[in-house]
This record gives sequence, structure tokens and C-alpha cells, in this order.
Amino acid sequence: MAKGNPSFLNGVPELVVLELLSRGEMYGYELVGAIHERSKTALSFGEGCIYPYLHYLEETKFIASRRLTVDGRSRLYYRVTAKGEKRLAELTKEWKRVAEGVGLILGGAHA
Amino acid sequence: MHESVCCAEVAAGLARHGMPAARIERVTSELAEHWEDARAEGLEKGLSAAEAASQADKRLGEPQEIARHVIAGSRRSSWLGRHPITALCILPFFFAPALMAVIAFPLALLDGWTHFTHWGGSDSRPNAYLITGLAWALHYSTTIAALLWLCRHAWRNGLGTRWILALCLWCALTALVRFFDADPIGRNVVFGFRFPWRLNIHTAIILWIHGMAAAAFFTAASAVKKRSTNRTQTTALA
Repeated sequence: MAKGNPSFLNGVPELVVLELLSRGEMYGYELVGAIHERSKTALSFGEGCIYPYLHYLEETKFIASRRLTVDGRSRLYYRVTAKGEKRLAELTKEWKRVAEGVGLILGGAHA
Repeated sequence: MHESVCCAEVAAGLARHGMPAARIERVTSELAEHWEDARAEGLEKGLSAAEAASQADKRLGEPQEIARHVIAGSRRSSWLGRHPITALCILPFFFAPALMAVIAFPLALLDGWTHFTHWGGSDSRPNAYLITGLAWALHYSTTIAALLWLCRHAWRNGLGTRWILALCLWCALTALVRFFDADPIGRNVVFGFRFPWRLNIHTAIILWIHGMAAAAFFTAASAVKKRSTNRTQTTALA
């Protein structure tokens, strides 16, 4: 997320957000909770930073939003679009390739 | 009544960068909803109202970082934003003439129509001075509009005041290289490029326009910065 990250880490927030939203429609707070829960708090960040990412993904048509009122609270729910599903497949493939490469290096170092 | 200091600071930071009000509203409304949820969670855990509000602000993160991410996201979503320097080097050459062509085309049609209907006079070319006057006004107004638009674009993309000053200078130089002439007798309007430029009254007008537009832009930008800083201080005190 930070400026100067290696390029192979640039797609990580996008991958995480798309993956979680592909499992179901969520609002920002719920999404942050899901990231903390599924990553067992390994991924921690300023929670407000999720919104610029969501807006960017929405502008690039990878996700779409709609305002819903649930239990008397009006919230903006996000979901993945068809274009977002394709992007998610690409990012997942890329991430697996990078993770495999890193795994091989770490495996080699410990051998 | 507790309010999020973080939301106010993000709004102020975005306003300082010239973000559109609708975008600021969108970001801050979602941040405020998030803050409210985090505060409610804190209250449920037994924290006092002040502690819950403070913890909710901490959870949102550093306002400057959020604002930086919003600006970066906005920049990444357009070609102009991804390549600000290239865009700002090339656009000054073509933006004003293109803008003028779009406006001048209907004017040329009007000229043709008024020429044949002898509008406003008795000789065969009654409104030539009016048309050329309008053409000159268009020339200068499109130059100003192009400069202000480019400055605003640079500002919104987080380029600092030095870059914007350099942009004003670059726009002035490109405006001097652009050739424009409107002749009431020959009923010709010509525009293109010419180098080196000739020093005449129009050169002085172009330089004066750019100087004034740059001054107006910086006055407006500093007023926005001052207003947003005051708003943040008011929210922090509340």
C-alpha cells in the first residue's frame, strides 16, 4: 500500500478486496472485519484506507456499489462485477506464481 | 456529541488538494459511517463515550495517509492522472486551439448566415468587426480557460506550487508560439504555430493574462487551504 512497495506487492490490497467481495456483498466496515478475521489479524492497516481502494476499484468497474438500508442503517454495499471476476482470476494466478517463487527461494535458503 | 476528528482532517486535506466537493463528501460520509460503527463497538465493549470516539479515530488511521490514498486512487483512474508531467507538457500546445475551434465553428456558421442576411448594416460585410472582435475575445478567453483548467488539474493531482508555477510559465511560452490573427477586412481568422514569436501588443497581453491567471489561481488555492484549515481546527475544538 505504501509508496515505494515492490511492484509484485502492488496488487495485494486489490486481490484481498476482490476475493472477499466475490464471496458476498459487503459494506466497508464489514469488509475490514472480514480481512482481519480471515487473515487472523496478519493484515493490519488504517481502516479508513479501505475506502480509497474501494472507490478506485469502483471507478475501474471491478466492483459496483448500491445503498441498502439494513436494520435501520443505510450503508453502501459493494459487490464484484464480471470484469472484477476476471481481474481477480488474473491477480490470483499472478499471486500464486509470486508466492511459489518466494517459497522456492525460502525453501532453498533453509535447505 | 462526539465527531470524528479524522474525517474532518481527511476532508480538509482533500480540499487543500482541490478534490471535487462530491468526492470529498463521498469519502467522508463513508468514513463517518465506519467511525460510527467502530465507536458503537467500543461502547459495547464498555468504553466511555470519549474513549470509544478516540479509539474509533485511531482505527481509521492517519488522516494524511487516507487523503494520500484518495488522491493516488483518483490519479490512477485517469490517463491524465497517471502521466501528469507528459500531459502538462503536451496539452498546453493543443488544448486552447482545440477549445477555440470547438467554440469558433458555430461562430463561423453564424458569420456566414449574418453575412448573407446583411445583419446590422447596409454594406455587403456589415458585421466583420463584431466577428473579429469576438474571435480575439475567444482567443484570449480560451487561453485563460486552458491555463486555469491545467492548473486545477495539476493541483488535483498533487503537483506542488513550484510545478504549477512552472506550468504557468510553460503555458505562457506555448501561447506565444501559437499564432493567431483575425482580420476584419479580409474576414479571415487564422491560427497555428509560429517560432520565433514577434514581440508586439498581443505578446504583452498574453504574458499579462498568464501572470494574472496564475495570481488568481494561487489566491483561490490559498483561500481554499485557509478555509479547510479553519474547518479542521473548529472540528478539533468541538
